[in-house]
Amino acid sequence: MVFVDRKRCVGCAMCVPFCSVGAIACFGVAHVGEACNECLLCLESCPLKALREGKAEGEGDATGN
Amino acid sequence: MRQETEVLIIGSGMGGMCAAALLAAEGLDTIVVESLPRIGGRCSTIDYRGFKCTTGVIGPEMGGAIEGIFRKVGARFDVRPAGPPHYLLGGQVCELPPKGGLKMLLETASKSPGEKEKVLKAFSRALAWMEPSGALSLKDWLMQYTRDVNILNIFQTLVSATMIVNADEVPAGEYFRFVKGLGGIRHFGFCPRGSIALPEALAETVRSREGDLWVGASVEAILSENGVAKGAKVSWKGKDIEIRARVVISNAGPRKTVRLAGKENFDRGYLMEMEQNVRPAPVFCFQIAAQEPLIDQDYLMVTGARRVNALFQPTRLCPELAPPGRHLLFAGAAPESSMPPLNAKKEMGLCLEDLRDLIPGFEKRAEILLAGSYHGGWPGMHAWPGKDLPQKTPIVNLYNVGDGVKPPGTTGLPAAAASALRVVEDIQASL
Repeated sequence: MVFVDRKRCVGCAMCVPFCSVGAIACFGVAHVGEACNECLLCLESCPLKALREGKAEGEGDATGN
Repeated sequence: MRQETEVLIIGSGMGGMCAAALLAAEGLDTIVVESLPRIGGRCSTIDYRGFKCTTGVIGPEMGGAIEGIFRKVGARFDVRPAGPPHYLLGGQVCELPPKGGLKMLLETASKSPGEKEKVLKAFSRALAWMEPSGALSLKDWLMQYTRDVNILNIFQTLVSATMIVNADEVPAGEYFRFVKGLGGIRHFGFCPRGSIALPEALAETVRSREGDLWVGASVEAILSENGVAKGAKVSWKGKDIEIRARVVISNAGPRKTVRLAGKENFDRGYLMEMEQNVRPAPVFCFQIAAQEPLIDQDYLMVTGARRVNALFQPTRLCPELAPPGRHLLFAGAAPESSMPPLNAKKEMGLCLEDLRDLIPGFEKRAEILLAGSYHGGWPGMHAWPGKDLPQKTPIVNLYNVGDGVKPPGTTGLPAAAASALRVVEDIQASL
């Protein structure tokens, strides 16, 4: 699962083009949607390492919502 | 594992790459390490649905420090000149003449000839005789001469589109140093292969001089002994590598440099100055696809809008940036305040309202590819103009380059290049 660390994400949207299934939306902050196929290409695209594999602490799903 | 070099450069943004190319061209052994999978930092390009999207930089200045560096190191400056400049003033599009542009803007915008004259006289005096004090913001300085909101809006656009902060945030003196030094960045252009062409051309110079560029290499720590920089610990391709270097140049931003080198190794005054003064400057960039040109110019400076300050349409000049027959438009915008915290969603919502007003039929004719907010650790600039740290750090042989250590009167890419020139001169003198 991929989640967005909201403390790190500034919403630069650089991750969006790296998602092969169009699962990332970004408007002020990135969101990883259910279509995510866990290819993990987005992880290294983020200049602030705000996308991570795993589950966000204290959050219920992989979208970072 | 251990590796030796004369110069280690952390980050392949334009500050780092300018320094790398200049030093490699001088014959110094140079390694550049970049944590991302591509070079260029905020001057790079990502292919997205056939469009060459930017990671920040829209177009470089022409005829300035950057082009000078390219010429010096023999790198290809693949840029097509954009222009002429156009301004949107009260619903009317005006083309700026080569000379007397400000006068024309004020004449068009101002309802009061007296106030226009007062501003022009003060402006001429400030350029010809003495810059205003930095104690006043540009807006406060202007308000000594005019309260005309149309005149104030022109300066807000001029400042926010080029210096990345608002007219009430830039010291008046710094604005005039910028106008004197860079002429307000009047001459700039677009890269037909995207902004990444610039760092790539410099990377070619580095490699041709036996220098190295490691992509996907993350710096864990900058090493120093007895207050002298010694290199860095780098993680690359699953290996931990200690790079020993005589000089370390960081293009990661001054705050990250301190984190990597360890706060305890810095002079307390330097840290205080950093905490008090160095704030990232936020900016928004919308990258918009269309079937047809959305504006009739290469770029249009926008006055009096909520947040959007400029529209750039590089695909008239550089159709290579979009799939055949399609167009790419960049909309730049500044938030109401550059002070954190930033309410990015609210501010970007206002940008969208502007775009709907500025581009007839926006919803039908345009598609937003990327809506980017640049702030915090990935900002428009690492420091507000006039609030920069010096390039040298208290750790001997550790320098910063980039837009967090801008020489006075510079901004954006020209600042990155100018900071690299200063660092290189210092290294040449000392090595």
